[in-house]
Amino acid sequence: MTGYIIKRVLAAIPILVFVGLVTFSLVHIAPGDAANIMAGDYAGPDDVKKIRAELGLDKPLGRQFIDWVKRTATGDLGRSIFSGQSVGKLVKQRLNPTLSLTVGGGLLAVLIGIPLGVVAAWKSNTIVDRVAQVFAALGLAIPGFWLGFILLWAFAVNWRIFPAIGFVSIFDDVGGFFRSIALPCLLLGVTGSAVLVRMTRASLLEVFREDYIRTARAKGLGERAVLFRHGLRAGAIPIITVVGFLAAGLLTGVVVTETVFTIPGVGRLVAEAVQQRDFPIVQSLLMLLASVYVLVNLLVDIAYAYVDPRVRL
Amino acid sequence: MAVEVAGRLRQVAAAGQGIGLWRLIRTRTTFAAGAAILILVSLMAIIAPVIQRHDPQGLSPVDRVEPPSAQHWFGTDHLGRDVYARTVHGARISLRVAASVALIVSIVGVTIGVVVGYNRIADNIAMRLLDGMMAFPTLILALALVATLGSSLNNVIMVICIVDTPGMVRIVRGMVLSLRERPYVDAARAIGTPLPMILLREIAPNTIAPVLVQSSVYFGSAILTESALSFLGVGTPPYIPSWGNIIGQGRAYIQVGFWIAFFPGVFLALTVLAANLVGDGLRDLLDPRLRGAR
Repeated sequence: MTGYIIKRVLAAIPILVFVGLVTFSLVHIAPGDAANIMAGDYAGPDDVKKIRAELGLDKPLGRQFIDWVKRTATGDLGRSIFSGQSVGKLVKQRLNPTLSLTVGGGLLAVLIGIPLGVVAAWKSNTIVDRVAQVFAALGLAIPGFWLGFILLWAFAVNWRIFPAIGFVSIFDDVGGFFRSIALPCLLLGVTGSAVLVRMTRASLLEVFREDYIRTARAKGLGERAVLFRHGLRAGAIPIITVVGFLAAGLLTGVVVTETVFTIPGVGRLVAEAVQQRDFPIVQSLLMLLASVYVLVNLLVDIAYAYVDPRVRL
Repeated sequence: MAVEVAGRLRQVAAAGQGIGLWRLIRTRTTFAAGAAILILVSLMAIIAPVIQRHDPQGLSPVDRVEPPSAQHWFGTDHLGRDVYARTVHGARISLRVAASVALIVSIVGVTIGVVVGYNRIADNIAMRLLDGMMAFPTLILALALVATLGSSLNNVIMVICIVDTPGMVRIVRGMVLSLRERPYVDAARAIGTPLPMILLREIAPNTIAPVLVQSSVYFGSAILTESALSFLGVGTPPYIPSWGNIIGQGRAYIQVGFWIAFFPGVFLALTVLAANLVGDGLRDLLDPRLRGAR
């Protein structure tokens, strides 16, 4: 197991280097000159020059890359070209809402998705299965930002049960916290669970076709025992990989969700930076989120190997 | 030339009646419904200028944020533009993006995948690069790329192709790894067929089935990605009505003009649902092992 973990961690390093290369190249693939784009239409040549110096674009390419690697490795993620604040500080300020949303939304997705998938597979081709499949199909087709808009309209504008915008920290007001994250978490949970329903159902259907399930039934075990003692145990293994998919869904879902519900989190920071073409922020957030994603997938791989010894071979 | 898809279709056809696709349409109501909706939406996109009733860009400050009526079926937006006309025109953007992405990703994916799957050195290099590309959450990478390249319809298409191609290459490469061991490939090599011809005539055609299924998945996801980018204000430029940017602009008027964002969203969800249903149907037809899976 230790050998396997070391192997996986080592394999993640070149991926992170590649992610870094792509992120670094971002400013250089901008058509024309990134400094020109950022300066906007009304900037004089002096402004452009200043931004170029700020970004380090006036230095030779190799030098720029070495500088960038040095800075990133020491945790200096650069600073916003507009507000001048360091990215690290900006992210820290906005971490609380984003963490609350991803944890809440992820939990909700798992709580809806996995049981629904299990029941759908167990009672396959019944009305319950149909309902679960329709739910999954709709969840995959309905765009999150539109569903968010509908939730917002129904629960915040029409019935006024939940606040329409903003985030309340759990440390300030517990009730307000739950009210402020209820709708965004519901949105992330529903959209995230659609994939979970499908993957769980598919993996369990596969398990139910196995010989040992037939044997269990043949020896007279009740359906409940077949499901819990034989089906779920084997079916749980592939479901772990789904957590990787869920992580990707949450990382991108947060950008859209925080925009719809006007929540000042990291996702909103991504959207704003992209709209303003604030390259240093776009770059470091891309690097940061991709690293989180790589890390989650690394943990998923290790967890998978832990429960399924065959993978370690 | 050995084309296994045709064989597969014939098998399916022999098992039932009629040719495979026709049987699929008759036996699977979901597939038929998906195909019907896609055809209707395509039709709507083609004849948009005929059925628009109003100019989708025509400003009418007097009629700002009017609820749906006989005059304006889907109401009007904050500039008095007719939401129905804009929604109908939005179909053109979504379908153009979806069809372009599905086509480009298929062509590029098969080309790279076939070469990479056949050549071990290329394979080693390409797989490392693909692993790297797939380390990015797609929407985040798409956002960063669009922000860099600038918002235009062509850039949106290009960016979605960039984030989708690695997945396609992977699928094709997996197929090619097993295809190159087939007897008919050996036979082709034995009679001295040049390598490019082997790739083009023996290998590539046999990757069609999974490519078709995957491209239908990308067709639907491209619509979602374009609309998400446009919703966030960096996709299709605001002067071209697309479902995503209509919803993005309508969001600010949620208190007074619910309809502005509501109607384009219905069309958006319905079109993506239809594309997914068609994709599931194709998967069932072309890969019976996966029936009921996914």
